[in-house]
Amino acid sequence: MRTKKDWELVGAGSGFLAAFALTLYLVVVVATDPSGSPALPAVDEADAAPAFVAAHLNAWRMEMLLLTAGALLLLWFLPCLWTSLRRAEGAPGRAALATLAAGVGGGTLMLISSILGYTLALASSPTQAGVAPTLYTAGALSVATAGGVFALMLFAFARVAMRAATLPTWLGVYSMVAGLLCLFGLAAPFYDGGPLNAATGLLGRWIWFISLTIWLLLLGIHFIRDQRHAPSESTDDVDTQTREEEVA
Amino acid sequence: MSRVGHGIWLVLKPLLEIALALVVLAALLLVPTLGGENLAVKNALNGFTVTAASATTNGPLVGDQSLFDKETACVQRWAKDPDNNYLNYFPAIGAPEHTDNVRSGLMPCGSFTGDFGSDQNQVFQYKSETTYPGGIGLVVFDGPTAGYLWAGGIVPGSGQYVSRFDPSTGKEIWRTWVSNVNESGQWLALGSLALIKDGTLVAAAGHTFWKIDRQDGSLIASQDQPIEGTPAVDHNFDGMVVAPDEAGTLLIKSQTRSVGCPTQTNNAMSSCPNDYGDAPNSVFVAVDPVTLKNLDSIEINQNVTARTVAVERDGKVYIYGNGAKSLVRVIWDPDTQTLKQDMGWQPQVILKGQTGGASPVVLGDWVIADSNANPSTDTPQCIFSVNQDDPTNTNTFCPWGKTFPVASGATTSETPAAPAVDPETNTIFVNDYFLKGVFAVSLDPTSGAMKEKWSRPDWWSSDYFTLVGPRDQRVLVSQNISADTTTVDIGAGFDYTETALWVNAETGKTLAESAVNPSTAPGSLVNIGYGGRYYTMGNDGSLFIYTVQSCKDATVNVTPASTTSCPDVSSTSSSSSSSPSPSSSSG
Repeated sequence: MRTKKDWELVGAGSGFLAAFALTLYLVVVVATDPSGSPALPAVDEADAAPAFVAAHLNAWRMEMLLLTAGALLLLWFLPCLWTSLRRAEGAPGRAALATLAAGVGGGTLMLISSILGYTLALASSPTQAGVAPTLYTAGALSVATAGGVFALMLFAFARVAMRAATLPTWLGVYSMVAGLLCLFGLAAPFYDGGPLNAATGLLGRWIWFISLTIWLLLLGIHFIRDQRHAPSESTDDVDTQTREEEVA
Repeated sequence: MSRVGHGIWLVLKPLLEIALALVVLAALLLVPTLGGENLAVKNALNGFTVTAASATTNGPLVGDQSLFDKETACVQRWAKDPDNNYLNYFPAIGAPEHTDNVRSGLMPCGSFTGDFGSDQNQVFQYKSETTYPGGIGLVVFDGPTAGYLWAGGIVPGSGQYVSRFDPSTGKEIWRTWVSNVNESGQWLALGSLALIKDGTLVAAAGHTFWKIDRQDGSLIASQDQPIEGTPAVDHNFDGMVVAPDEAGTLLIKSQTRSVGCPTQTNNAMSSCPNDYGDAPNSVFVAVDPVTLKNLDSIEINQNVTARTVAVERDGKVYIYGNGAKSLVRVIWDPDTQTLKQDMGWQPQVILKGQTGGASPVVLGDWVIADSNANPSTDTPQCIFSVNQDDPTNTNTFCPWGKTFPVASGATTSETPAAPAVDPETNTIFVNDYFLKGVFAVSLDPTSGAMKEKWSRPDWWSSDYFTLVGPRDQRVLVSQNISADTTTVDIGAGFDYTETALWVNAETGKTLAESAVNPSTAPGSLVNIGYGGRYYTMGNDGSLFIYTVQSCKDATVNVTPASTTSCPDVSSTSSSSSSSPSPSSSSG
């Protein structure tokens, strides 16, 4: 019989795996030599995106798949996070709910970005190829916007972590810093080149993304450690307990 | 016992979890590669890149406008001379669908704007601003400022149309649809298009002729032609020629599809016979060039798949074709307004295992024919010369040998296009879609004997050839399919790439070669325009426009870089003593 601890471990582990998938995504991005020829284009050079994708078609598809995997694992991880935060925050648990909602929003935007990327990589006719640069820009902006939404998640988490005793304060501080970096994603729609552009910008795309990945990694590890030290309960016990709580 | 089992499980569980994670990770990494490097996607994306690069760097290609007057005067003189097989066409470069009435490929009034003495040339290219659905089959011109194209029928679609386009941008100016196969049930295949002497466009396909005003695209006339014996929907007119008679009678024959076969496009001719039996015999028609009324119509004794040619000889107009059983000749008599198959001229020249060839060409007294317009896995392509006056006087030359595999290793032979001929040098140029390699063959004008002049094993083309420039600076042009393409790629469809290649026709040495682009219509040609502009017809519905520039004249490096390219212009301009050298060349 699966115990509650097992399920909590699965939830906590999914955060770690999400970080792992996003790390792999970054590794594949680097492996495509984004500054080579053809180079991964900034938003103002999106016309060159078809050439880049054509030159790295399989790698591009793998990037999209890893981004999808990262987003899905994050969405699986969020309920676990929400449960922990709600416990740590206590009623009414607004910050925990905000963390969950923002996480779902950011994860969904990442999935949308993946779909746009997949569509680009399936452009098998000139007409479809004609909108490839638009798909590229829209995909980049979806990820950048996700960054802005994740900032909300990270701020809400930081608020709980820095007040509750059950979460390490340093993680709350890191969340606050990562959240601030994620805010650059919201600025990306106003820049078509330079460090704030959504496709290749250090601030608009990469720094916050890496910060988020590290946050997920740290949080995942923390939760896994936390769950390993927690006592085991059967799922039946949990169900019973939950129903009793609801009746009370 | 249970304690031992529990101990084993404690060790095994994490190992199994790791193994499971690794399997999931491997699957994750494998899934994106299962679809393979999708060539269609790469082609489409690269095609877009060509457009984007052209638009931002090379710009529309206006050609060398200083040549326009000279070229116009040249072609007007050329068209008047009956020996040039241009009578009754509009006096413009590219007015006939394939160079002239005998599909020689030669247009000496066309210009090569690169350096003829070396391969120190670069090639500007521009992808048309309009994409033409259904694929482009033919391109004609009425002068430096207007081009016309026939589209539809290369790939499955609803019908066919004629468009006028800007020769500098490829942008469509007007489009006139002439058929809808969903309404008519007509077999849709590549038709025919020409600009005739009255300045109108005449198009033909299915069993119908259309006459179109070239200024505004309005339909002046359309006329179905009589098809006796078999369903007209299974006939498709292709290869129109204009008789060198007083009226400029339009002459054409039908290629046919097996009766009852629903397959569309030219593929029907190769795919239908297995299930629906042999295709019916062809029908030849003579058509009034003004009214499009039928003057005569005859069914001949076999199917002629490839285009025909016409010449005037001893006061008669001969139409030559390459039939399923033999070469054929049909005589058009302008006085009696009748067509008649010449049953005394049916030479059977192809070797055992070969299939009938593509369009014949005429070179002096000789009809030059190739073989294997339909694929052969038994005998490689050979070319034949047959005397116009004596069909028993024939010669055979097999550039690739008579047995498979040939030198390139190929075991299939197919030639969708006719050989080109240069009547001023008595040279024949021949290629094969599967065998690879291009041969220049000398013809003895007296005996008809043929021998190799030069060969380019590295040159791979399915197309008609084009010959431009004066005799002492003649340039041979055609496609060059990328070396990394396999015959499997060719057999699978159009997902391969190619360049346009200019060579010295006398030596076969490369003069210029474009950047790599998506594939163009097989069995088509590099069309000659004005001002040194050339046009190929992409299978994706785009026109590719090219001009060649000598590195001596280069002020920018072309983007995308052509295969023959110039050294960095910025460095040469700062160091005037440095001499240009090509980055790559072949031949």
